Amino acid sequence: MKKFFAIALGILTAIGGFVDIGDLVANGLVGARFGMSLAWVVLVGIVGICVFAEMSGRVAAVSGRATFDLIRERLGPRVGLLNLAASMAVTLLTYTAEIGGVALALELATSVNPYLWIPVVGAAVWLVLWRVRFSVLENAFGLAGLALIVFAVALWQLGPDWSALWESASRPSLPDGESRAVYFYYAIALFGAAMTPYEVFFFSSGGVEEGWTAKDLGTMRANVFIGFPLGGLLSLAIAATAAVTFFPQSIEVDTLGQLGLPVGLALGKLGIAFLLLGFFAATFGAACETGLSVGYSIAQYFGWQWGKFVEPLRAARFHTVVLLSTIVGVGVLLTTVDPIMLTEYSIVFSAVALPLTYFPILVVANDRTYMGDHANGRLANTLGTIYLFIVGVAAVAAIPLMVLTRAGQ
Amino acid sequence: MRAPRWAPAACVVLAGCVAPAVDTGAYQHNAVGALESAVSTARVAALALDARVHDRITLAYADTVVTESEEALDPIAASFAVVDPPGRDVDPLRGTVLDLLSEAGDLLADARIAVRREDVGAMGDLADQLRDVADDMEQQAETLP
Amino acid sequence: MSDGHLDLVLRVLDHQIVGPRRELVGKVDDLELSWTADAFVVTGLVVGPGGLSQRLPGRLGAWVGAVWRRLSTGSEPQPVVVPTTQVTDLGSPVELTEAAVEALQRSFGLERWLRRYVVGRIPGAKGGDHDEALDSGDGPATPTMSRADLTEPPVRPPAPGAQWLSALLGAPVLDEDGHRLGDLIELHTGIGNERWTLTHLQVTHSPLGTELGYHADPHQGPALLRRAFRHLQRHDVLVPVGEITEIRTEPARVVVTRSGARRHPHHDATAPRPG
Repeated sequence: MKKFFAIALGILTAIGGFVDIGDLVANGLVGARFGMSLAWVVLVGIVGICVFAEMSGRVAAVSGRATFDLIRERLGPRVGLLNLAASMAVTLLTYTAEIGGVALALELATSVNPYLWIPVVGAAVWLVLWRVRFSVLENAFGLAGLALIVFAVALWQLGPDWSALWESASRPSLPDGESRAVYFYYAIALFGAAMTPYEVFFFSSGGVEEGWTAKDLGTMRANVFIGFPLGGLLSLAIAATAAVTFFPQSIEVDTLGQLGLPVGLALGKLGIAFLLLGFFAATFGAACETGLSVGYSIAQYFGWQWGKFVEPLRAARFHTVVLLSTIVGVGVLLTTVDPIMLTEYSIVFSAVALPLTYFPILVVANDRTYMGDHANGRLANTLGTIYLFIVGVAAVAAIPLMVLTRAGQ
Repeated sequence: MRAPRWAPAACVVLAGCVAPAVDTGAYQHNAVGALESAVSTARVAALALDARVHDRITLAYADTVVTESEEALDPIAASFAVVDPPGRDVDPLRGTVLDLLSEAGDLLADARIAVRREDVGAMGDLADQLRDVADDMEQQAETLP
Repeated sequence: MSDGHLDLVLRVLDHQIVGPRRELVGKVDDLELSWTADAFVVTGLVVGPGGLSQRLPGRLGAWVGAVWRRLSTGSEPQPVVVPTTQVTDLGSPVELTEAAVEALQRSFGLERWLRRYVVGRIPGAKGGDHDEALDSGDGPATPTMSRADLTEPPVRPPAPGAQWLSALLGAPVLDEDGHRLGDLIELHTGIGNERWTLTHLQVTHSPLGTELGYHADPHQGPALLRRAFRHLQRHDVLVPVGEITEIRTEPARVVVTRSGARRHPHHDATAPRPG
């Protein structure tokens, strides 16, 4: 019974923790602009993150080694450092965007200018990373993030023409006035939002924090194979509410407030309450995850003591990195840069950086000296190889498409 | 004079802000872009006003969305206004578009005030007017090639 | 590893180092190799920025080295070497004795500085039980005597005359006629008691991706990568350490005797094939 609760809790937090500022922005924007014609990308992204997270979780459980441990080990210090620099830049950008997202959620609740909230949010995130136990952090924000299910309820309440929705999702076509380049640019953004590299740093490092062993593989897989797809469905629900409400009126969504309007229209103030809780939990939880991920990656590259399973004094370098990243993130936001724009860039650059971490994980998951019987089987390797191509194509195409479409204009 | 090395990068960045209108076609394209963005902004504000009239969203939420819309429209109008028309033949177009954008801007400012005063009657009227001006702008955009 | 050997680059270099209680105490940033009377052996693990900085390119390496020297306590800081006698287990991480871990932790200038001046000053830095020895004592990073091993200190400066593995990797391997066999990418040692004794050099024409493991395990998936790397590394050969006539750094160069029978590492030791 206890085990059942542990698994259920893991699945619920995986669902609630799946959506972050990147998923919110990308799905809202794409749903409003392209209807459901990019829904297939979300599905491709969900399968991809399942394949990737399962491999890295399995490696972490069996060998006790998290992602950047392995990157240093398999790519050596030079290529490993390049990889670290690129991944860190993207994760720090995402961290900054998440902190901005929390401030925007608080603005919606209070109508206080987000730039006043940003320093408060930065301090709060840091305090949580400094003091709060790992399991508490993960469970609290994951469960509160489930409040975003209001999007699914709102969609049902809006009573859309389901067959038309299905039609536009299953037979994707280019909406009027959109070019093919822009369509694929947003396809990559949506893919990058679903398969953000930090999710894997965090997932594998979290496995080590919680002391996973080969015995925990079942629980880990339940989290990945049930929790992530349901979290992905939540992303689709967000895209669908935007597609139903905004697409026919040719409204473009570029703020969190606009994104949540359909929830208010369908469910009223109670819906808004859940929506704001969900926004807050999803962005705050993801801010914690990205903040930790910056520290995890650098510490794992150098072999430093890391993690919240030791007191901060024993992991001084790790905690210093987390503190400095928070300061940098808050500093960047206080230049009055638009957090939504930061988010859009962060998800596209996530797609660019993805192969850097994906490739070493695929290789190590095949190392039978570490993995023994838990090395990749045929299915994992077939999917793994297919995704190596997909991830590679998305990474190569992202920057040219960004320049060509002027970042999707 | 030799161009500095960062010039190409700067061009890419600036191209997103000020598209140089070299001919009538490009100018009309600019006008369509400005109108479409303004349509989106006006309609989303109208939705928020409606929701607030029917008490579906909180005051803070409506205030945030309407204020964001107002703040989004200013740069749309400004970046269209600063482009020099390529010839006299497009002066009427320029006038019409700027009028529509400024009408929408005025309505959004009124809407913000109505929301903060919790003036339900005004919010309902403004929502209708915003929808009308959005429709006008959409029609205007459709007349352009 | 069917023929019972250890791939040093793949299995030891750049691996995580842990203590008996799974504390994380750094990476194997380099390996110290020495010639004894009759063998070529791994004598120590180089740990810390003093070793790592020499493997990073150009200015970056110099910068890491400078930060490390600035934060070190001694007047002439030396890279820290842990003798291989302190290694208690060799799995995915390299496990060291308690004494070596304590000595290493005393050598981490950056960690100690941050503990003292940054993290230690924030309320709540300490939680649960903690070891006073970690943040007290500002003495130089002199090795303390291990209770277990009184003959050799748990950490020491680099041995004079020893070579570092990273300085040899990529070295051209020539035979006595000056014919080039390829580049050095991997060193094999024995297993069990012989795990620090070098047995073979692995030489390749294609040094791409040699830490990925495809040069060691002929069955490692996925199939696509296996085939690609197998093709790249099809001319790899193993050279027994006994055939080395010269091995030096700056510039790195290995000269070996001429031999007609060298085998590809994927082939069984009993079935040699012409190199």
